[in-house]
Amino acid sequence: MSTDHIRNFSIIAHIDHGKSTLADRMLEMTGTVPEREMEAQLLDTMDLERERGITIKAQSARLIYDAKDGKQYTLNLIDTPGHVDFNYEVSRSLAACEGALLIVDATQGVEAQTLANVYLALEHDLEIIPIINKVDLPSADPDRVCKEIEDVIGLDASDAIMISAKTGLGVDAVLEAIVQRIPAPADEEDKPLRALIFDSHFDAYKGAIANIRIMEGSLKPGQRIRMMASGKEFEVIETGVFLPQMHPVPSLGCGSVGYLAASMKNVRDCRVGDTVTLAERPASEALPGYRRAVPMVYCGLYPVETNDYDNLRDALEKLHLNDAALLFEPETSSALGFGFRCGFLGLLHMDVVRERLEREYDLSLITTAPSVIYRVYCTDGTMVEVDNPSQMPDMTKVDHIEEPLVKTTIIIPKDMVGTVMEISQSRRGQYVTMDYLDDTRVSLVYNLPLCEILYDYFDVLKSATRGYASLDYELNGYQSSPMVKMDILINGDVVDALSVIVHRDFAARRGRALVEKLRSLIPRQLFQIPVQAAVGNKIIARENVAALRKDVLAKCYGGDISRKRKLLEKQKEGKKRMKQFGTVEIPQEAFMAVLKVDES
Amino acid sequence: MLGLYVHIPFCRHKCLYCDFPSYSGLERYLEGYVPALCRDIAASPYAGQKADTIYIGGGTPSILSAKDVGDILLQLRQTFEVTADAEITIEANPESLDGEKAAAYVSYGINRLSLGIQSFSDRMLSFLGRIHTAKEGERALRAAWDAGIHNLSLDLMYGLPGQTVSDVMEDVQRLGDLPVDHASIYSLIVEDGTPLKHGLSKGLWTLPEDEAVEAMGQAIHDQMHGLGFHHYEISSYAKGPFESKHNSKYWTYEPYIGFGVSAHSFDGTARWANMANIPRYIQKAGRDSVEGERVLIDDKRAVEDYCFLALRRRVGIDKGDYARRFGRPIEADFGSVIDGLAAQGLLEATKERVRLSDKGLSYGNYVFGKFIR
Repeated sequence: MSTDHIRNFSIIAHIDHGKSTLADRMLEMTGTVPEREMEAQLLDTMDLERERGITIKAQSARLIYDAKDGKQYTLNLIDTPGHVDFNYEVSRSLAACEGALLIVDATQGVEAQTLANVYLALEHDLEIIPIINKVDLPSADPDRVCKEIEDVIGLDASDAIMISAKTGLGVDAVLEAIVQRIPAPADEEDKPLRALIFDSHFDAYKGAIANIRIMEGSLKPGQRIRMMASGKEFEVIETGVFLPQMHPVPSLGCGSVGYLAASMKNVRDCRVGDTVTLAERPASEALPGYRRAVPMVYCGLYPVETNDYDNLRDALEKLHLNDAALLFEPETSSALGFGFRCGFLGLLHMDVVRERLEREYDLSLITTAPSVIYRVYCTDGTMVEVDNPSQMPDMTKVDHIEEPLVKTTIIIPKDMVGTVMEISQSRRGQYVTMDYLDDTRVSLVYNLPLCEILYDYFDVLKSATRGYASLDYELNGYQSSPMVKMDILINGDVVDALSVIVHRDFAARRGRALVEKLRSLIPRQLFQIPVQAAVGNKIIARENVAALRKDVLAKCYGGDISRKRKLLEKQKEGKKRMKQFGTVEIPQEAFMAVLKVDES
Repeated sequence: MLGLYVHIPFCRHKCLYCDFPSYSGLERYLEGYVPALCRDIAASPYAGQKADTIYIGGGTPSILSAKDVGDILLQLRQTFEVTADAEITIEANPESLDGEKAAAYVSYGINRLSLGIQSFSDRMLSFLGRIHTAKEGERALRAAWDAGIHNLSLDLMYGLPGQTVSDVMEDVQRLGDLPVDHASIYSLIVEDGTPLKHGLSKGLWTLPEDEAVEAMGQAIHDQMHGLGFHHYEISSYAKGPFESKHNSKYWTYEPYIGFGVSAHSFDGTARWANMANIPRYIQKAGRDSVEGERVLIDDKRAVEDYCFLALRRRVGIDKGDYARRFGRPIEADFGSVIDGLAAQGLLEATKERVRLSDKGLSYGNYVFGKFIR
């Protein structure tokens, strides 16, 4: 069968620029999903995704479209995650396509995340169709946005399509452009099978499901397949397409997008980016670009109730089935007891996992401050990777420490350049370049230590630019830095879960800010509690949690005991998620406080 | 046995700090309020039950004419079986109490009076928005005594702007010179929505430092003991047998029924308050329900309430009573809580009782909070 009638495309857009809404309209207009079954933002299946307006898991849908030329086309939409944490997944989704729709909000313009993804798409030689969304809004300025697309991205925006995904205006033109402008996949049906896994998920009945794009050859149930990176072999039980729900088909031909089920036990059997080939007639080479998802951020997750440990492990195992990038291993903390050290792609990924554990598995958790991976070179010539400050070797045995850097692109209005430079420099950023995108907006590039991004860079940037900054980053090697481990002592004892690794020059300032913050978070007890920050044996900051005040005597009038009770309940409310540490109770927020201190 | 509470929500002048249900300038409703109260009492579903305490509180009950008070008591005796030795208390403010009225109270069977003196400093009284002077306070108290009410209580406040420890000690000394056997002593609490809060936020006054307020509380405690008073409940002192029997019902999980607007009730299984709106109450009383929402007390809340209320009294929790009421020993519910607090020196536990220690008396809220699960 020829591939002439197939078009594979993704949608590139910044958060809130209308990606999911456009996808919904296309599903509706092609009759893929009847209007009455339409639920807003159909492709974002998790509650969390809908709430946050972001896409975490890529979703796909097959649209059958009757074009104006009288022919019927199969349009495969591959929705991509919209966050820097999931850059690799985005690149695999793009690799599965021949074209991409670039959606830009007519009231906002190009943002950093869009830019990063457009460059990725251009690297994959995708045909890009610029689309200006929300042209119906009074504040829309499509001309300026078109010019920006031309100046910033270097795309010809003269044939950009003006739409309003919300009202449906112009969506028919988008469908037509997909057919006319995006090339059909190459017809390589006769070659040995090479299928790209661009996503995967876990199905309770069918096991791990690989979302695939057949680049060469074809696939049907009963065939024995081999994963080229892992070498693992499986027998295909089912092939199918997304409508967008899974729908079995007898085979998947060259150029098509669909899924395969092969009794795989977990998603690590079909890693994103791996190439599927046939065991009997293997391809000689895998498709390019595979790499394993590597966590960049680590934190400890501990149950508030110690007897929830097994439940937490079960929950992590369940999430792990569906999330190849999530790593976890048991760890123990003298302060928090038994828990898990978990690795994530980034802060959002971490947040999402934590929230799902709490919401879907009803667990109450204590999260320790996230850490990057440090390469610690010891005087005996060995190197250890440290993602947990409490695992830091004794400083006398450390020769030097390397920390990860990220190349950070920030897009901002030009009058904020000074502020952003100051913020970046004060967080050890090294200036790389600055470009004017147009008369009003600037793209700044800095090399920043990843730990500074985790610490407060995002938040400070956001508030200093009143939300106007958009930001994207990618890992950019390691650099040697004078990092030290800072311990926190509460009531004279080191609380291991509060230790952090900081730059030597920042230790005093952060130590002061942190103990000040902890002082305000730790509830008063019957005795005064010293809170100290120390580097090695040297105390660099100290605050005291004052002893509990004596009660003031309140009149209780006319038997109104509900008033008294409310007071006690309110007092109790503030004490949830307390962890007993010796004689001191430490609230959950204290362990995240490391991230949210105000140094000013 | 029941305790009966009657709420009189009228004051001649609303005090600066007050956020209780009492109103000035609504005296036009007085005329209709007392008959409404009587209808409310007569229609009580608890009619016929025995009662051994009556408490007429407010507001300012002494704002009523003696006859009104007589009518209310008469109605209570007609509706309930009030025991012969019942404790019958009325709250009064100095400006509306004289010997004649006190004598009338005695003739109706009132045998206890609680006088809202608050302070013996005219400066403090005028700050608080009280409309009596220290002298008038003393005069009213002696009038009550002379009329034959020999179970007298005073209210005193401390922690007032500009007040010092020696001011407070002076107040206690003046109290000691009077024929008083019971006192409610409490600190000024800044409640939302009061003119006090507003003025403080504007910087009109400054409250004493926490340390100073703590020192005042301690000085009062010590001095009251020196005068022979026993600190029998967190904010109450009494000499010998003069503890308030009515208030003790609140702390010992005994039932009490309230009449009048915003009056609170507890019948052993539910707690509720009456509606707050005076005209509507007058309209509905005796004809329709005047109750607000009933809160059913489930087992979890029952044991929590029981403990934190009982611990307010120095005698604390009677373990035998607990086991009889709830069908299990207190240790089954709060064993580790009690052990933890005892280890911190805040509770004293014996075979029979659990009670606040001397130290615990100062950290009641911390201790009570541990009993809310």
